[in-house]
Amino acid sequence: MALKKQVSDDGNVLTITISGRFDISAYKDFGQAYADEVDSASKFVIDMAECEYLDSSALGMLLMLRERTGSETEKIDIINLSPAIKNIFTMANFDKLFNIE
Amino acid sequence: MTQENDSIAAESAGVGDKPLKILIVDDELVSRKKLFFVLDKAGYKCLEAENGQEGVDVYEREQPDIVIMDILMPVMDGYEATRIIKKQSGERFVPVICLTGMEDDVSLAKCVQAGADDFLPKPVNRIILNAKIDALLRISRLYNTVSEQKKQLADQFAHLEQEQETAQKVFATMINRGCLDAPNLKYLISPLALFNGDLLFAAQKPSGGLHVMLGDFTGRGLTAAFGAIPVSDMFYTMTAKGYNLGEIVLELNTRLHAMLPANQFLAACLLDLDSRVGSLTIWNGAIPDVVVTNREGGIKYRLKSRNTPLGVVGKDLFESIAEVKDIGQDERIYLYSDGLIEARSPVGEMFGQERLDKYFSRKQAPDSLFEDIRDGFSTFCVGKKQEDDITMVEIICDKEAILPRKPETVLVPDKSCRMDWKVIMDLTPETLRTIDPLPLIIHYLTEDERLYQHRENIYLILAELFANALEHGLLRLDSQLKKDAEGFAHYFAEREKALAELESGMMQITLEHTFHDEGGVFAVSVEDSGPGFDHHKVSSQLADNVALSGRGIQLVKSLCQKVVHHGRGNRVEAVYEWS
Repeated sequence: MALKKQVSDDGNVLTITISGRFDISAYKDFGQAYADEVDSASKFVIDMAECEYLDSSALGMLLMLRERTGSETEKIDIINLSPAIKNIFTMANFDKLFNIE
Repeated sequence: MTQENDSIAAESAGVGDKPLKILIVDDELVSRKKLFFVLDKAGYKCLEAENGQEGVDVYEREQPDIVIMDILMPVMDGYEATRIIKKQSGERFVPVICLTGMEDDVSLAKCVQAGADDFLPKPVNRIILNAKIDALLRISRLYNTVSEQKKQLADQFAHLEQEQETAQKVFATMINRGCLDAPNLKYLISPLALFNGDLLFAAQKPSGGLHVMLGDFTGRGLTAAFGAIPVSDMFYTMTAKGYNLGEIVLELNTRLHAMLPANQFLAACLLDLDSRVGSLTIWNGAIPDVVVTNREGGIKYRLKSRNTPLGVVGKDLFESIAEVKDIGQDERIYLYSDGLIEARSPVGEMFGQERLDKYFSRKQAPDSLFEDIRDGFSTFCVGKKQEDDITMVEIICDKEAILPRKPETVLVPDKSCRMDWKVIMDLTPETLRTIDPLPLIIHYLTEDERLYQHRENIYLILAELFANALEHGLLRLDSQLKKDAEGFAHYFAEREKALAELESGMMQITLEHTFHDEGGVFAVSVEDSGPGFDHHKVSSQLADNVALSGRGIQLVKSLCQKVVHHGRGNRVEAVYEWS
């Protein structure tokens, strides 16, 4: 698992790119990735283009981010999902909780 | 002595502690006294022995930290004394330095065999002696620290293990109290750790049907077990009290949402199987497709997850979608956790939904399908370490299945007062939309211990009469809709819609109970404001009615001493006598 973060010039958008396996081993890094921007940014983008695998603890981490950012569906975009990963989101009906592209 | 020397001596003798003890075993007085003088000056507490036997005795009594041992001595030589001391020191590391005048390899080898840690040639050089003692004490300190830590770890581990075992026993009795041993149910539970992150519950409904729940907590081990206890409690208690699936789901979600941190949730699938009526209700939240197979094998239909897992969103956002399906005699329901699909072979290939579907699709030997999947799965994964909890269950829709009786989870009231009573309930459309009155009534009725034994029958009678009055009397639904599988689902959709739109009308339930010497008479009357029906005609047809509809009233008739329709057919009275 590797994690990259990028903040837009105006500081409003935080993009977190996840590659490899997104599971419990990412817990600490993922929390740290948004810790500084959680109150200031207005948009959070999770880029899953290079994510190979995702488990229920990863879904839990996304829910944690959702709660920390005020539980608004529009605030978090999850983008570039592979069909297999999209399937996991659909199965859990997370499309009601996040903007899933 | 300089200050520096002092500090070195202090260190070797053990800072701040009692001085370290050195046992000197030597039969030559001069040699012994010389060592004594040197070591005493270095700050050690010196003990003396004149031969091997005395050395062993002093060792036992004083437990020194280090032993200096001469070899050639009367009574018992140094080899033997070293052997005994080493044996007695056990886990503790007590360095033994052998003093030897002999420089031949054979005697040195004998020293090593006896367990000595180092040698010193006689006459002893003071500087070499101190250096060797320092070195050995450093090793000994390290050794003793490590072995002390090892012991602490072992103790703590043993303690933890014991606690976990106790906790697991408590957990198991909390969890395994339903009817998983029903004859029409097969299951496989393969937890990864002592505590299972997967949950599997089965409970008989008061009306005789079956509630089954498969759950999969985020995380596993203790965290998951933590949530399992309230979940099992709610599931069993609410089922026993007659709550329906939707109400149980709602309650579980609300409680879990309040209890769990944001990143924890429970993927779950709950089902309500009524084999006698032939209906299956499924609520699936993030559990893999539930598959129902035909009597002769092959997939009849599959039910995908249509809900968010339990505990993710609060009551305000929670949209609960349950599906109602028709199910026939000997058709089979398969539920499984994602651990089954995601398990990998030693070469990293996933077992996968496709492989599983091949089993479900086969049109032969339906009786051994469960075992074949189980065996095929374990062969596929052989040699690979399990990575997740794995659970699978098969339920056969079987009218004849007799569920095992279990001691009840709901406290059985112990008072048995003989009281005759009568209750009348008026239910408006608003009330009917918001609550299910049956659990409340059942709860009230079964306060009496003797009546409690009859709760299943009473529930069934009430449920049937209530459903008829609501669905046909007030909602005017046509039971012909329920003729086939599709109609069944359609019927329930219509029911939902009609209930939501119901504006006027009224239902009145009258319950009356009279005790007599050997039992009592329970009479229920249900009246609705609907148009009624030609009950003379219908009752004559009941005898050969085999359609999906109408079975309910037959059941009621078989349980009751008397079932009579009154008026225009909008009031029904049933009398149940018990003893």
